[in-house]
Amino acid sequence: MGGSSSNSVPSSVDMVASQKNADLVNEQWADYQTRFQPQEANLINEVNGNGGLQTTLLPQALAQASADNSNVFNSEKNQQNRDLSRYGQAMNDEQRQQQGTQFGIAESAGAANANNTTIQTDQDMKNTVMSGGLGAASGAV
Amino acid sequence: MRLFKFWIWLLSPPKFYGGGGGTTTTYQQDNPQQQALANVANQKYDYYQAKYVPLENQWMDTVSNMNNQANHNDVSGMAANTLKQSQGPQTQSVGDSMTGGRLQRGNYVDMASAESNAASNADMGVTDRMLKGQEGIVAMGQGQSAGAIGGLTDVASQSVQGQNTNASNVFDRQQAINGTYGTGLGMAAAAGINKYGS
Repeated sequence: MGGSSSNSVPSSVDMVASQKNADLVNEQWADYQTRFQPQEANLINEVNGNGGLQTTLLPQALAQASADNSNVFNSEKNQQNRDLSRYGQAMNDEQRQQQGTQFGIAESAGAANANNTTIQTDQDMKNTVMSGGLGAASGAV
Repeated sequence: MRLFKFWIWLLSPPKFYGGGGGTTTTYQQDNPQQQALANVANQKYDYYQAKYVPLENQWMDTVSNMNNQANHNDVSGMAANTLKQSQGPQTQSVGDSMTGGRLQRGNYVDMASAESNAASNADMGVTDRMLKGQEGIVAMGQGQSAGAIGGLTDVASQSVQGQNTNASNVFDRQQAINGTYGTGLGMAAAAGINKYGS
C-alpha cells in the first residue's frame, strides 16, 4: 500500500505555473464553446438550410427583392404623374391604362430579374462562405 | 533468536516496510521561466477578457442585427435614390409631350428597372455583409479554439518533457550516488589494503 498516494501531488512540489496554464487553457476553451460555437452553428445552419441548395436567408431576400421592385416601379409611376401635373398635364383614361400596362410589364420583368439575381447571389454567397470561413474553420478542427 | 529475526526480514516483501520496491513517482517542479510565462499568459488572458471580449460581444450583436428589415429598407432606398440623382431630372419626356409629342413612356420605366436592379443588389449586399461578419466571428472563434488547442498541446508536450527530464535527473542522481558509493568503496578498499595489505 506504499504507492497509494502516488496520484496526489505533494504540497511541497511547486506546480503553480503548470496549473495556471491548464486553467487558462480550460477557460479559453470554455469561452470558445460559450460565445463562438453558437455563432458557428448559426452560420452553418444558415448556409446549409433549404435542403442544402440555398441559404435559409433566401426566402427573406426574395420577399425583400419583390417588395423593393414593386416600390421602385410604383415610385417611378407616381413620379411621372407628378411631373406631368407640374406641367399642368394629366393623362386620360387610355393613357393611364397604357401607363399601367407599360409599368406592369416592366415590373414583372424586374421582379423576375431581381429574383433570379437574388437566387444566384444567394448561391454564390453560400459557396463563398463554405469555401472561405467555414473551410478555414473545418481545417482548424 | 536474533538469527530468526534476520531471516524473517529477508523474506518479507519490501513494501511491508512502506514504499520500497514500488514505482517511484517523480514530480517536475515549475522552474522560474515557466512561472513567468504562466504569469504573463494569465495577465494576457485577463487583459483579453477585459478589453477584447466586450468588443467582440458588441461586434457579434452588430452582426446579428445586420440583416434586419430596417437595414434592407435603408440600403434599397439609398441605392434607388442615388441612381435617380445620377440620372438627372426626368422631365424631358414631359417637355416632349407638351410640344406635341406623344406621352413618352420616357425613362420612368427604364429608371424603375434600373432602380429595381440596384435595390436588389443592395439588399443582397446587406445579407452578404452579415455573412462576412459571421465569417469574421467564426475566424475569431477559431483563433480562440486554436489557442486553446495549442495550449493543450503545449501543456502535453511540457508534461512529456518534464517527465523525460525527471527520468533523466533520477538516472543522473542514481549514477552519482552509485559513483559516490563506488568512490567510498574504493577509498575503503584502498584504506584496508594500506592498513592490512602489507
